[in-house]
Amino acid sequence: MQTTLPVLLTFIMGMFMIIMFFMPQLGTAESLATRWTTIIWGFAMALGIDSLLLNHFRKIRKGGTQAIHSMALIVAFFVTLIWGLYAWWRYGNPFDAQSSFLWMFRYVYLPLDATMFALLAFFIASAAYRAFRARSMESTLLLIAATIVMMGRVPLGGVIFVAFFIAFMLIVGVYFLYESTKYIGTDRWIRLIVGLFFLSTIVPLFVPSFAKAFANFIPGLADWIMQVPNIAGQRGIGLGLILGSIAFSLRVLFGIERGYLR
Amino acid sequence: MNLFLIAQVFIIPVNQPSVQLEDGRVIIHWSKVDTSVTKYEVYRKAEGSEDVVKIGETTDTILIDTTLKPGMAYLYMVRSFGPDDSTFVDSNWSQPVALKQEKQGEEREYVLGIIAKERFPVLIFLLFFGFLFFYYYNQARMGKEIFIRRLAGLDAIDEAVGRSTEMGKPVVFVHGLTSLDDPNTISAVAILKYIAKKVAMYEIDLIVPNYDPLVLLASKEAVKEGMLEAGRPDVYKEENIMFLTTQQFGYAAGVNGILVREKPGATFFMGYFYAESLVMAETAYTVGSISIAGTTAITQLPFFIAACDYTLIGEEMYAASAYLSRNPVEIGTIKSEDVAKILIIAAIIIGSILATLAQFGIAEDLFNLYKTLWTVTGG
Repeated sequence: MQTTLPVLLTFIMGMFMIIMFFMPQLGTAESLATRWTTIIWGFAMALGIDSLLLNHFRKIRKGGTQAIHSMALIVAFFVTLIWGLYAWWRYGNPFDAQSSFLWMFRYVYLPLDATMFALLAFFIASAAYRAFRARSMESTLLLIAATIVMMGRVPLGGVIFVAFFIAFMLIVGVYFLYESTKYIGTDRWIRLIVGLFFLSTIVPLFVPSFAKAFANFIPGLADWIMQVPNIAGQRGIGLGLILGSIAFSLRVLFGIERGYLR
Repeated sequence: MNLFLIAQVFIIPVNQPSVQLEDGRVIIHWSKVDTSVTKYEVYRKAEGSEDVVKIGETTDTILIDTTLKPGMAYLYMVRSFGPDDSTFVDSNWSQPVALKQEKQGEEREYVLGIIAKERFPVLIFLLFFGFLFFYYYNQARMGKEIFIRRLAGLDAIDEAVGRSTEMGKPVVFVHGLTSLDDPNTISAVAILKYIAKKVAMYEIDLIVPNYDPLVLLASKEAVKEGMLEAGRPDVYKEENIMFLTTQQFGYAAGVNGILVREKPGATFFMGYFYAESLVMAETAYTVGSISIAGTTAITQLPFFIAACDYTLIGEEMYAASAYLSRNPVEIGTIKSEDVAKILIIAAIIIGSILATLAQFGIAEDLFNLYKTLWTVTGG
């Protein structure tokens, strides 16, 4: 009974939603479900707050170095609650322009929120550094694609890319020429030709019109990467997602999958 | 009346409102960018016309327009008012939205008299996929062995919990930002139950911070049940499954705090995430935790792939619960997804070839027929 009833309820509600989707003349199931969820969520929120406060009171009782964090949370919670209720009583709306609660929201909460968001920039840099290290074929491709997209999406990116390309080809070309001095016979000639090939790719870039065309090519290439291979990959994942979500829903609706139940 | 007038100063206008056509009505939605705004007025004009009509006012950030005429394209604008009613500022006009003739109430077209015509292809596709699903379900029930590829991210769960045990450190399970109405979360709860079972067997702590109070309740039950199934209900610690906040970056800060203080041996990120994903995943990396993520949020997948050791990509997240159950019948249903995918890929390849040939004037009729079939079957 502990699993049969929830499975039966899930099946009935699921079928109800499916029928309403295909027969919209019967009404909008979505708004009904949203209303019900809001009501349940309201009650669940009280349990959430109960969990939060109990947890931190417990930590304060236990003591230790971490208790100070819990004290800060409890104080912040009640200060915000009382302040908000007072502003509600005083102005009819805690977010009234005259309300000091609004001041607190604007100058304490929002900067803290924005600070957390801003940290993302540093996290992106450190994660990108790890992801872009050319340790395998895949990460090398990622590095090349990301470099082109970055160069193509920033102002003067094309110009920077020309300089970047010249420096890269110069280093690789000189490296192969240097390596050729260590070998003899065919090995030497191969390295010499490869080195000269890399160096020769730089030469046309000293012709201003060609360099300009090359610089303009990069933003177009960046757009192509974003709009063709990137979208193709996303659509592939999206296709799998849709099939996965339908199969998952069918498993849940028909009680085949009960992992989320007791 | 000049609707673009910015009266006085100090109010930040809302961005361009987003408009969504649904069941013959337009849902106009915008973001609250200035908390000092006391009310919003929403205006509408027909495309190509300068006649502006006020359609309503609200203190919320959503308004529904049900008074559209079919066949007309409309644009919407939101006016934000400051504390005194004379101070206001206007947003930009929205993208045009048009109500087609057939979508209006009684004018809507139906197939077999009851099924909305525009949703009929979805039904055809659902029936087709349903057939595949139950075919493989029956095959599995009859004992036929069904092969599905290994999912490295799920196989690594045991390894991650084992590593935590060896290090004597707790395991942290982080939910996404959606509630129980999202299949992601339901799948995440099932994975949590499996992890709880493993954790109970090894007698280590499992910490589960929650963003949503409904998910909190489900998490408590899942962990309790998992530990009970492992025969170790005594390992369950109520205080380790806690509610943090329903604020996105407050939640990220709370999770980061837990990661930095507890230095877990393994961290799981399961569910639907937004911009906070990398903030949390990168913190888990910096504290030396092995990280396994699973999400269907396409925009967050690259972040998880870059920062985590293993990532369940998209559909793998939905398959996780069936995969972990080791139940052949549940696994059998996953096979239907793979078969449907192969059929769709084949259809795309055939369509691409026919479209290319049609460009050169070859087999145009065949291509048109294929296009019609593709549309009718939900492609």
